[in-house]
Amino acid sequence: MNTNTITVNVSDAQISRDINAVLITHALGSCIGVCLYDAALKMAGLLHYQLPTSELNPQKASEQPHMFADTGLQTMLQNMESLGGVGKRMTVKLAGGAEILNDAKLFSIGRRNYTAIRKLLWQRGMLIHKEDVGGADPRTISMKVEDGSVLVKSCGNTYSL
Amino acid sequence: MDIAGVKAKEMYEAGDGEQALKVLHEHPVDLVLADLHMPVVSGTELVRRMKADPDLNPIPVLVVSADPDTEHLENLQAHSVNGYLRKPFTPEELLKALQPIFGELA
Amino acid sequence: MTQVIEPTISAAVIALAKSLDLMAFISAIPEEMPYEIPAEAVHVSIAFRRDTAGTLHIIAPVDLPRAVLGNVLAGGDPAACSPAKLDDAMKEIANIACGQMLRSIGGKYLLDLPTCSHVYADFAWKTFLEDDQTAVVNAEGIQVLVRVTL
Repeated sequence: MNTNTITVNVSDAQISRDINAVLITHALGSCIGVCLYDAALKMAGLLHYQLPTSELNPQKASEQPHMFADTGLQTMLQNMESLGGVGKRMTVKLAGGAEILNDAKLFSIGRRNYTAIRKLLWQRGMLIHKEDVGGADPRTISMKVEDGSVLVKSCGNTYSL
Repeated sequence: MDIAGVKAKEMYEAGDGEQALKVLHEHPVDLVLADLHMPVVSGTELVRRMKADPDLNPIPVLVVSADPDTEHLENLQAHSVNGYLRKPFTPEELLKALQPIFGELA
Repeated sequence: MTQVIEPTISAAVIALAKSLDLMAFISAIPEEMPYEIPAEAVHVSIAFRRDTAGTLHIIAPVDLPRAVLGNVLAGGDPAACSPAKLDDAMKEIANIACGQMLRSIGGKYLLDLPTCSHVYADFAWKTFLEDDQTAVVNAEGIQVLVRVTL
C-alpha cells in the first residue's frame, strides 16, 4: 500500500479522506498544529497556525486565514463540514505552542496560541482529547487518515498522541 | 448545554447553599456541583444537609474550590462527596471528574 | 521551623494570568504600554489568613467580567448578564486568583468570601499605584490592577 504524504505548511491547512494518506506538518515552535478527525467519515484535517487572533491583522487574515487560530479553525472546520463532517463528534488533538527562549512561560506567544484555540474549541462545543503543548522544543506531527492516529516527533523522540 | 455531544438538559443555579437546598427540593437533578465557599449556607454545610436528607442523599455531589489546601476536600471525598475539583480547571478536567459518576462521557 | 513565604505582587500577577487563562480563555500579560484609565471600575477584594494575613485586590472595568462570561458561557450573550452576575464573575476571578497565588507559595491558608464595590477608577488607580504593591495587567486590551497587602 503506498502512503500518500500530504504536507501542511506554516499558515496552512489540509483535509483528506484518502485512507492511504498521512498529513504532516513540521517545525511547530510557538505555532500550534490542530488535528481534527471525523471517524464516521474517515476524514482528517490538520491546521498549522502561527498567531492567536486575526484581530492582529484583519487584512492578512483575509488573504491567509490559516495564519490565525480563529480564521484558521473556522475555515478548516467549514470545509470539513461542507464534506459532511460534524464538529462535535470530531476527535481533537493539539501539538505545539512551545515557549520561545527567554519568553516568560505564561506570557509567551506559544501559550497565547494555545489559549486562543482552547477558547475557539469550547465555543464550538468541541473538547480537546489529547494534547502535547508547551515546553521549549519544536515538534513535527503526522496524522494517518485511515484511523486518525497522531505521531509527534520532537528532539529525536517519537510518540503517539 | 452541549459539549462534545454530552448534553445537560437543564441547569439550575443557586447563589448560596440555602437557595441550593430550595432548588433541590423543587427540581429533580442528577448532579450537584457545589462551591465550598458560599454565603449563608456553605458548601460543606450543604453537603451535610443533603446527606442527612433521605430525598437528597443519593444525589451525586462534586465540590469545587479555589482553596489552596486540599485536606478538607480530601476529607469530603472520603466521607460524603463523589469527587472534587480545584479551581482553576478546564472543561476537560470537569468531564474527567464526572466520568466516575456517569460513566464514559464524550 | 518552616519558613513562611509571603505572597508577592508577582505571584499575584502570575496567579491572575493563570486563572484567567485556564478558566476564561483570556490571555493576560504585564502591561507595558500607555493606556487610558477607565471611568468606572469594579473593585473586588478577598482576604486570606493563617500563615500570613493579607488581602488580594483586583480593580478592573466591567469589561473584564463581561469578557469572562462571554468566553465561559460559550454562546450566551454577556450583554444580557445582570450587574449582579457581572459582580459575581469578578468575585470569582478574585477567589480563584487568590487561591492560585497562595497555592503557588505553599503554606496553610483560609480564604474569606470576596467583597465587591463599584468605584471611580481614577481615584482608585492613583491610590493603588502610589507604592510597589500594585501591578497592571493587560487582559486582552483590558487594564486590570492587581494589589497584595499584608
